[in-house]
Amino acid sequence: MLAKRIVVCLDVANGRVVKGTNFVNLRDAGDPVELAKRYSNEGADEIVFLDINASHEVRPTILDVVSKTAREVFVPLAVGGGVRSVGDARLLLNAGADKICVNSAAVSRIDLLTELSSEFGAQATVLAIDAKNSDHGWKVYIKGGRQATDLEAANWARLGQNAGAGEILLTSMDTDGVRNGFDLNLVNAICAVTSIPVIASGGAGSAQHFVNLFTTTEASAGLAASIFHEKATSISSIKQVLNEENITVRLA
Amino acid sequence: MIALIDYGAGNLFSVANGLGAIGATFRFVREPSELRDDDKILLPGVGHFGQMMASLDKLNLRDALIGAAKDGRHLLGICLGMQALFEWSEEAPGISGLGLLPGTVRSLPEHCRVPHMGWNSARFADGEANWFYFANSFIVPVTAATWATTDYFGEFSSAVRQGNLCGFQFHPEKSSRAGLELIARWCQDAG
Repeated sequence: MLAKRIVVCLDVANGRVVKGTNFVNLRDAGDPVELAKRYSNEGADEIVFLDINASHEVRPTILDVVSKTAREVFVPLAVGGGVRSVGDARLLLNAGADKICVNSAAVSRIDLLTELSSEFGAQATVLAIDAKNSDHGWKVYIKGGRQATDLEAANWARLGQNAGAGEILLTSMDTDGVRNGFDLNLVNAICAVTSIPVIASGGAGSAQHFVNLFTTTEASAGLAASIFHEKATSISSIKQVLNEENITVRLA
Repeated sequence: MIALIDYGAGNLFSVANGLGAIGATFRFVREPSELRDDDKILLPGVGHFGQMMASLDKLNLRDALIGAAKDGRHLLGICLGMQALFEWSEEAPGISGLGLLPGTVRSLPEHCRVPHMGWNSARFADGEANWFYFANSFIVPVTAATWATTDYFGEFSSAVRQGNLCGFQFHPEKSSRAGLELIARWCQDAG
């Protein structure tokens, strides 16, 4: 049976992993290659690198991080930040990335998803959605959560899937950093209108939050960052709890 | 020496990294004249079946690969590279694969999330089972060449083996230690 995935996200700025909320109070959390190696050894099913400074280009520092990591870490690597074209994506894939995450660039030009998907396959094309609750439903935000759009998250997810995305990386801006659990309503709303895998992000604080995610939604994966950086819990102990709850996970 | 076929596949560098990690010697091969008689051939692949066959045709590699396999050289296909060993795929009706193994690559059932993405268990004919990383939207049904099976809304071939031909539907190059060990074993078995 297909295992539920625990995905670790590493925010990268100028070649270092950073932690902090909403781009403020960024603190150094370590070397990306070393951290990726450590999390992979602890049982991470996938690593996501997000270049949080990139806006208009794929920067040489992230290419360097990806290529060094890919030579030493043999689990899937997804990379996002600054990807605006097939050429950008190719740079990252050639450096050793397996999947490309796009967010703002897909909102400005949805055809990008179609182009990436037909060039590299749907399995390499990840639509990242940052969503925030409002009186009019979940709104999609771009530019690292700094700019609202008129898009409703579930509609956008469906459009993105139809355009060629093979996976959705769904971040709830309401639960992000709060560590009070994933935004289960949002995850259910997105899963209900899509038939591609959904990675839920934002709000993970404990193993029980992952249990809740996988027992009440169809999410394929749960993503976390800070709880692992701060060693609040470990990937292997989360997987142990999931396994005890009869949720299929890959035990290393 | 391993001839790693370079026709622009997205996982080419991941496979190269995997070969590097196990200390296997390899070189990239882009045209038929670069293939040597004592090569073991590794055919990577992700993406679209029709596009992959078109890329191989453009480089005149189709006949070279079929000829090499028929001469008994070891050929390993990974992911889409495994699917290309078969005759046809529902992903690209009317476009023929290498046809080295009989059968048609099928779609996954409609009611499941596609691609089949993530770690799933592959059970080999000898009873051994392990976790491997998959990212596929189409499957090879269980056939006479099936070496391992995996369950995702039904059983499919996650590995095939017949004579000098071998294929993995999953990505051993992305499947941590278990995957790298499997590649190393193929290198050893292929001599």
